Amino acid sequence: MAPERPPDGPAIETTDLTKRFGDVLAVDGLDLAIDQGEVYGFLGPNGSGKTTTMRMLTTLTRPTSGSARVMGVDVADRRELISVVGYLPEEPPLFDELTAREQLRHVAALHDLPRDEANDRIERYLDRFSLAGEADRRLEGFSTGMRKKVGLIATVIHEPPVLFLDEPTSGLDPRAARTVKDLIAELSGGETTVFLSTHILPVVDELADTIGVLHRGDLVAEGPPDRLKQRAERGGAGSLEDVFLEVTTDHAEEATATPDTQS
Amino acid sequence: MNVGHSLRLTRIDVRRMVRKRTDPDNWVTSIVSVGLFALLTLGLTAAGVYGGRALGRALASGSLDPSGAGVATAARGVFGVVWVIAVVIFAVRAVGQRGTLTNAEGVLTVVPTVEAYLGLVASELVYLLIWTLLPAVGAGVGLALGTETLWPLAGVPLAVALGGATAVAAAYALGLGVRHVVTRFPFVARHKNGLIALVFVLYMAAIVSGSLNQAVVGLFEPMAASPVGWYADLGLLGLPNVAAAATHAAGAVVASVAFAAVAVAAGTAIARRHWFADPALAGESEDDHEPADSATSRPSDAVTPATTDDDWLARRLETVVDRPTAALAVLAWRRAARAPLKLMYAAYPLFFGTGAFVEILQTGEIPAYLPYALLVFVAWAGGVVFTLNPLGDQGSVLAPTILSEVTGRKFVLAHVLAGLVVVVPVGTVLVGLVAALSPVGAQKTAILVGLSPVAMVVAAGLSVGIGTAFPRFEATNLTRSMEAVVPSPWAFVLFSAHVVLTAVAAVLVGLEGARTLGATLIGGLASFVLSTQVSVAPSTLYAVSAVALVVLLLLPAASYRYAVRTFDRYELA
Repeated sequence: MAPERPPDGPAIETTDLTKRFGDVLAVDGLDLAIDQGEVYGFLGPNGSGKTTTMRMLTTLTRPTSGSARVMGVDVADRRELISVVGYLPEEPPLFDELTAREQLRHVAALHDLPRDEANDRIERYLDRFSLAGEADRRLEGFSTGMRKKVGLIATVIHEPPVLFLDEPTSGLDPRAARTVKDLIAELSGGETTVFLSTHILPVVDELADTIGVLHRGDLVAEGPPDRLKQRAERGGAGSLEDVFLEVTTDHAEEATATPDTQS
Repeated sequence: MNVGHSLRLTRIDVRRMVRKRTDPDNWVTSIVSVGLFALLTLGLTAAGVYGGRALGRALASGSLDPSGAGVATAARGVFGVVWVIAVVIFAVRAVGQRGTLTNAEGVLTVVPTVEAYLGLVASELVYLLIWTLLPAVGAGVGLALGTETLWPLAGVPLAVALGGATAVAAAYALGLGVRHVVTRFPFVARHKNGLIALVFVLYMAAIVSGSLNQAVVGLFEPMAASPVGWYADLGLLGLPNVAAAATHAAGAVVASVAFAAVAVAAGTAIARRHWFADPALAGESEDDHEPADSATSRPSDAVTPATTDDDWLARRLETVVDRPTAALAVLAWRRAARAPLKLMYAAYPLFFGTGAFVEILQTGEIPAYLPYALLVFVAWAGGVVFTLNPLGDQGSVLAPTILSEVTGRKFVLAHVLAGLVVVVPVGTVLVGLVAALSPVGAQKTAILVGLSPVAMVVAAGLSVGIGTAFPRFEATNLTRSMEAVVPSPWAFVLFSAHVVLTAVAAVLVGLEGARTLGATLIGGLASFVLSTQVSVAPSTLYAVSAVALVVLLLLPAASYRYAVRTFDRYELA
């Protein structure tokens, strides 16, 4: 049973959210407020803490300190939270021994979806992602892109109000990537909140209402794509890539690099 | 051809193996692994020195066979049979684990196939020599000491090295050919699991019926007469009272080089076909070529069509349990049915039963102890099949499972149920049948039949907690084309110890004769260790066993509850 949505509150809200692994500070006092129906592009270099953040927001990892709520549900309350989130890790979680249809039916059953409703949704999504003809093949023979599609369907099958997607378009051909982007746009139009982590900047540029850039566990930049682009060193002509490179450059590295570049 | 490239590949392969075996992150496993290796090789080397010296003295004194012909023939036969066994072992390795290159794309696009192939064969030879060279040196030293001749110091290791090289070269080519047929021919590939099971059954049948022994004995004379026997001449050349021929010894060296070259050439030709051929089963292993993004680019028989009517079983089960629990149980069955060899570890204890099978075949009777042993085995098997690694079995799907309506109670119940539904009927019937056919009598048969389901339920309840406490997520190679996530060694050891201890406690509580014997044994052992007279009364042993039995039988309930709580609070690292 999904908890009632907060009428006006943010879909995702974190306050001083921190995660340490021993001496390593993975996420450092993260403060976020993401509105319902928003697509939040979450950027950051490798190892910046993006996946850890998503795991904390989906209860898969416990924060060291701070607090977070998703659709008003505290992330410490897994039983309540599971009905409001869907999480697609970077590597789609699939059983190789199953067929795509069996995998999706299994996930639907775990979410306790009524069988007929689940089957309807599965057929609809399989058709949409051009997988209907492959649905009865075992996943062990699927390509990276096909696996990604099945993983994405499994993530949205219970139609949660908040989606956490880790690199949903990587490994997809342009047509499949288009389908995914259209789906994200459609879901967010229907008030689903999408927390989108990716390295493919054009995807974020196209879909995100707000972008947050995480660097070494710190949120170093946040705002709508256009405003961030204006922040870039090259002014109005700056691209999202310029923004990314600027805010994730270590000043220490800059200082080291300067003499060489000047010579 | 650049042999340096091959040797570099060999060096990398061996280095990876060594680092894997001495991984500081798994220091317990590393210590056990390295310790066992040191113990075995040093033990064999010492045995080689001792045995070699004794043999050398006997040869020198002429007490074995003054003519020397018999000794030479026997040595040739032994060497020949061992060579054949080595070929079989390394061929099986090539079919299963070692038939492909690690990081094949990165190697085959950089060096010619022949160099890659030679590197892999050479690394197999290194693994053979790691185990055999030191004992061979020991045997050579022993023979040299015993006969007071120098040649065995070099001759025995040389014979082992050259014999090993030809065995590995032949085995790898042979194994790669078999592997090609198994993985690249659609019909064979589709029935691979059945074929492996058939080979396993035939192998066990050969052991049990004694055919394997007969075959090995039958090989003795032909191999003694074959050029493979010449390695014995090479190793024993110049020893007193041994009719080793210098021509044979020289022939062994020359023929080895020629044979190895031909075998490598043949193997390279097979490798050129195998390593670049499309797999018959798409996605069969990570080292095979990645299937294209479009399904149409794969052969039409590339995958095995799966049933689309997967609702029937789940619907039936949903009449008893809720939908998520039924889904998890059906998932466990389906995955096991599709990849039964991944549960092969559950059959390992059957190897210990070989003696009993032989006894049954020879006498035509079932020994009285077998129903009891079988009861322990079915309880053990019931605990390891689906419940000894429930978290690890989920693999990457664990996160979505945690983020679903599945609670710890449902998760644990599903796995226990999945195991018990299968093993309780099968195990009970099996124990009942064997007990009925054995001389234990009707009353004990009834008791055993009644105890079987109880034992399996208790074992499953215990194993699910242990499996949850020691989850294992890393896959282990069963064969090169099949990886499986098997339970962790700790889970195996703790669970097996519990089953054995419970069985022992039950026997000590239930059988007076066992108590008396046990008390005598424990008293004797304690006296030996403490160097003072210690006696244990059977009544004391009864009391201790009874208490232990109660505790051991209560542990599963706590274990089950622990598993439920752990799943509910589980976090990814």
